[in-house]
Amino acid sequence: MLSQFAATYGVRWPKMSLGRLVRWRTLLLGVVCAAAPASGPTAESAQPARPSPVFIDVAKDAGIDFIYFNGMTGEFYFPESMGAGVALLDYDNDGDLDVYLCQGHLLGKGKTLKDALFPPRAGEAMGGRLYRNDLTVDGNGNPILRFSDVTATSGIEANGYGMGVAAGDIDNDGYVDLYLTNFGHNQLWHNDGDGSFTEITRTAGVDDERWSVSAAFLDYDRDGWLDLYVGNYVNFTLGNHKKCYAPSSARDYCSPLAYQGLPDRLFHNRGDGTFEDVSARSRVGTETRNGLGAVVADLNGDGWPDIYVADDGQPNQLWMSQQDGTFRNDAVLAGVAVDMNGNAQASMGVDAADFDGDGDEDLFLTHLLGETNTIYVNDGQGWFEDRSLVTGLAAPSKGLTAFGTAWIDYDNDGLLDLFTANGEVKSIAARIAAGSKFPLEQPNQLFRNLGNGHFADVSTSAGEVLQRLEVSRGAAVGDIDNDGDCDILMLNNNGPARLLLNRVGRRNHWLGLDLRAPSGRPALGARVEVLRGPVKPLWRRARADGSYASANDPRVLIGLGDGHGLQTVRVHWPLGKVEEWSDLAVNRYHLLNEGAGRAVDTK
Amino acid sequence: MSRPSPHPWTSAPLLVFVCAAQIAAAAVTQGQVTRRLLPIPDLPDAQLSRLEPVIQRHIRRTMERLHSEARDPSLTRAQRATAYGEAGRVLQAYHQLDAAEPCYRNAALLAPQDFRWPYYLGYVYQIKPALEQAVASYERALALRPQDQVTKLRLAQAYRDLNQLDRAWSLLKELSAPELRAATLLGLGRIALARRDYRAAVEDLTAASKADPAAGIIHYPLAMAYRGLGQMDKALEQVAKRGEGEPAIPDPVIDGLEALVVGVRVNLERAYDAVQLDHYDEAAEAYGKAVALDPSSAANRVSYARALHLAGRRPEATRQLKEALRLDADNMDGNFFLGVIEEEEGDDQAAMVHYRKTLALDPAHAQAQYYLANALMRAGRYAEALPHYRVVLRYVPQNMFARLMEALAMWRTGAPDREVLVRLEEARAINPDYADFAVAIARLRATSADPAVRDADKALALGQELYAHLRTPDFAAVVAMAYAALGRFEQAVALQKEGIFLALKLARPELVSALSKDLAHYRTHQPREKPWDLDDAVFRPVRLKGS
Repeated sequence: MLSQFAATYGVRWPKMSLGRLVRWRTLLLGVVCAAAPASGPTAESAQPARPSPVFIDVAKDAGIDFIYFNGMTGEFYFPESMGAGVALLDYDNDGDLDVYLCQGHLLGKGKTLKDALFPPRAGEAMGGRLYRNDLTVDGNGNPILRFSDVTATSGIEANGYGMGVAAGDIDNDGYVDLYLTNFGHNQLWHNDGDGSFTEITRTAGVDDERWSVSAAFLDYDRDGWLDLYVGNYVNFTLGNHKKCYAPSSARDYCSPLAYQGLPDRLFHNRGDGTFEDVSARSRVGTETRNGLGAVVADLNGDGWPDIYVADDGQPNQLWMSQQDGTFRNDAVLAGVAVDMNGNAQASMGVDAADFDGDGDEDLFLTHLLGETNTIYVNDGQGWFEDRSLVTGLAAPSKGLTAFGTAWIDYDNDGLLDLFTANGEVKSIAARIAAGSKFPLEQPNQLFRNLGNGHFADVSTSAGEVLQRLEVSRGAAVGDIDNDGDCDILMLNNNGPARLLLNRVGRRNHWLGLDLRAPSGRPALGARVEVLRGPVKPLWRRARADGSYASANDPRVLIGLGDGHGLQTVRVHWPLGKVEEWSDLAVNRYHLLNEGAGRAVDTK
Repeated sequence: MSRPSPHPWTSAPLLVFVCAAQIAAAAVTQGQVTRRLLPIPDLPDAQLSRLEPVIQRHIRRTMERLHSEARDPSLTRAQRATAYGEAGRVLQAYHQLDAAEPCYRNAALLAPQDFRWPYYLGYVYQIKPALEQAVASYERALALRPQDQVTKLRLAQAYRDLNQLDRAWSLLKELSAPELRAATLLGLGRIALARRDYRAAVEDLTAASKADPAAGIIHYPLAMAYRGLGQMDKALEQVAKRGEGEPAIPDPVIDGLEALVVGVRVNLERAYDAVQLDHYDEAAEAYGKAVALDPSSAANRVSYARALHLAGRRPEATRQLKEALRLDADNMDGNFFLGVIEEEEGDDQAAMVHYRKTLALDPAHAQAQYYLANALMRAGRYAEALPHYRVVLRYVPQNMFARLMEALAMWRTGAPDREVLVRLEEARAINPDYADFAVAIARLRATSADPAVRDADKALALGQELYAHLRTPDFAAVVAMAYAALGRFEQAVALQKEGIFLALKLARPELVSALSKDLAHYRTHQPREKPWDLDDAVFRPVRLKGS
């Protein structure tokens, strides 16, 4: 009954006691102003020169001049606060990463652009955009990044209120297809292989007219065909829109707890261009939650893909494959439903990777201001411990709200670091006082893995671009200029897309792997074991999902530090085979096809 | 002997000089303090205008008073400190934390021995969060009042959040206030868990739970501690008890802020807090005040009505809902809840009107879909009910009764038995513990005319499994039905009589009557032809009952 009451009424603001403030997503008027970067050397002091930035933003220079239009008209419609995702994918199979950006639109009956608080630029084409990467290399071997907007010629007409994107080859024809989630009907776009796409949502049977955010392609039944998971958020409609208020009494966006959650969907790929809705049968669609980020990984080492869902304000879900087409939600006992204190957090983004080099996938989630981001460390059996506090990740994240996130080895030292795209969902008093018209801006963060189970917040030394006050949401990671280090594509809510080019990773050695299943499509879920002699192996995973509503580069990029000791690369393919390759040259990409390596007997 | 000359330090000019020096020194100190004071915070119109008008007025008056008192040369430092501090309290009470901070800092500068100001400042920093500053402020407060237990607790929380576990632990160990026992032990338990000292965590968290059984939040970390020890049964036990309430921390300093606030929103918050504690009369009172302050808000009236309804005050609730709908005929919640009350009063027709109005405003309103579907089923309008159940299942797939009714509506609208069976079996696979699916499957298998569905042996096996697990009249009737379908009427009669006997014991006359009809058929060797009667007590949605 209480949850009914809670869902009905927009009032969610308890009296000010610390514990409940953290849990009930109240308006916390935190001041988050990053320290200004240190000034340069002065005449008086012999200060060392500033280190070069880790990332620089090259979006506009590279031809991506895009602003996400959230359609705000002062009605405080919930989707306006959420922002959208991005994708890095090689849609034309020319070896470099192209870009897809989601786009919003006006919300509300009878609204016109005149009502928009932040109208789009004059002449701006609306709808989701596809940008082709026309990467070239100059005479000195330096990559020259240039993107072209090919949306019109691609045939993609994504005019829904864009939330997220998943990339995967659903028909094993070697060309990656796109699934777009919307506030409203979703879309499946088939890549025709000639630069164009065809919408096949209805024939494929994968629509969902509710508010979907994250989606992920996975082969949950290991039959060689990519199935589709779709995460649904809350049962908000323009018809049931409520007025919500901050504790200060100011009108503000509602918390997701003001609405009922929605069940997620799982669609089984029949292999003939159609999908079957197995949401109920698989159990994945039998709970109602506020699903946002999602990641697919084998979290208990049994060789079957599991699905972890970051739920906003409610316990997260850990759908463990039962290896028979069904899943069981083991999140609570596995230790990944709530934080170590027992509080359900406002989980938005998520990623999985082996950060501590023990061979299993650990989880990292992003949360709201007043909560902390959370790292769940895997014991190898699919049980986790919240180690946010002792790893040093808790305190620096408490004053910020984070969405998109990724494990990346930004400096290629062999240790996985963390990036978070930050931006509030409720107005920040200091930003109002500063005259901001969209007062949700916060800086982004970069956490360096120190290799001893701890992380250091290196945000302020990572470059001016990370210190910008913006409302960042979706983030996808990948090697956009093919120079061996991990770059970041990011989208701001009511703001520009950013292409953060990595300037430091290539100072260390690296190895790039493009893993392909027998059909030729990227082998999503394949795990890579990099053997380096007496040093413990590095583990990485080929994945496109994770973060918030975004799709990542499916290639595996492995930082090798000084490069010494690399012996063998062992690939654990999704359907169970294990193969290895030796003598792979460092500092380049290798195409590894399943079946072409040296078989390894794992019995 | 002549008197010695006066000591030079006592000579008048020197005395004047010393006094003047002292006065000058005080003035310098005063000046230093004045110069170090932060400017009075400016709350721009862009920020204030977003607030409720009565709150805007309160804040403006507070700031005007502060400006006046800050400039008043007749006020002592202590008085000016209080002026700043009280302004900080008002601002903090209205969640204007950025503005409250400089007020408290000034108050602390002007009255450095006053415990309150560094304490409030610490609390503000802790919320913002600015943890290092929170620690510094709480440490300052503790230096002024070394035995203050609540300050120690809050400081320990801040240390813990900064991963200074040893310091947090030491401080918590000093606490002895009985009213803080649960919070203290919870803090110690959480630290032990972070250190992976599972035994200590179990000890502390168990004691915390005993000290405050209502603090449901304790059970999860306790579950994790048991899990760490490999005691899975106990871990599962704790998981099942998992809740959300934190141990109460009586804090008169902070609690006193609530008395400062005025306006609608504070009453709405009080009401909401009361609802969380199931104190519906209290919630109704708070909502009533909010409505009195803003009679034009239909939404607040609906909240008021809902609290009244939950408090069992239905006529008043109805009056408020009707007034809300007079103000706003398209208020979705108002329409819905009026429908609920009408259904509780037995008027399904009126209820359906309001449910339909709700759905016209929001077709995705799962509860309205569900209640409308149930009302239609009760009215025998099965074809109309079926699509509504399907919508319910899209939004609330765990509603097992809706699944059951969907299958029933399918059957009653002529869907082939095999399709109905598929739906029931799918439902049972999703929730094997929901016995009514098994009952429905058994009944269908026992009576179906479709040879692909009819399987009296399977029906019997299912019925016997149910009855062996729990002896209820319904389960006995299923077994009897299967026996009758197999032609084993003697056994059918025996089981049916057992069912009647159980129904009598449970004082369920409607069930006795239904079972007796079938008993008569079995006695004349007639098996049931249909799996359900129209007025079947199990397979029929009951009307809502009020509290």
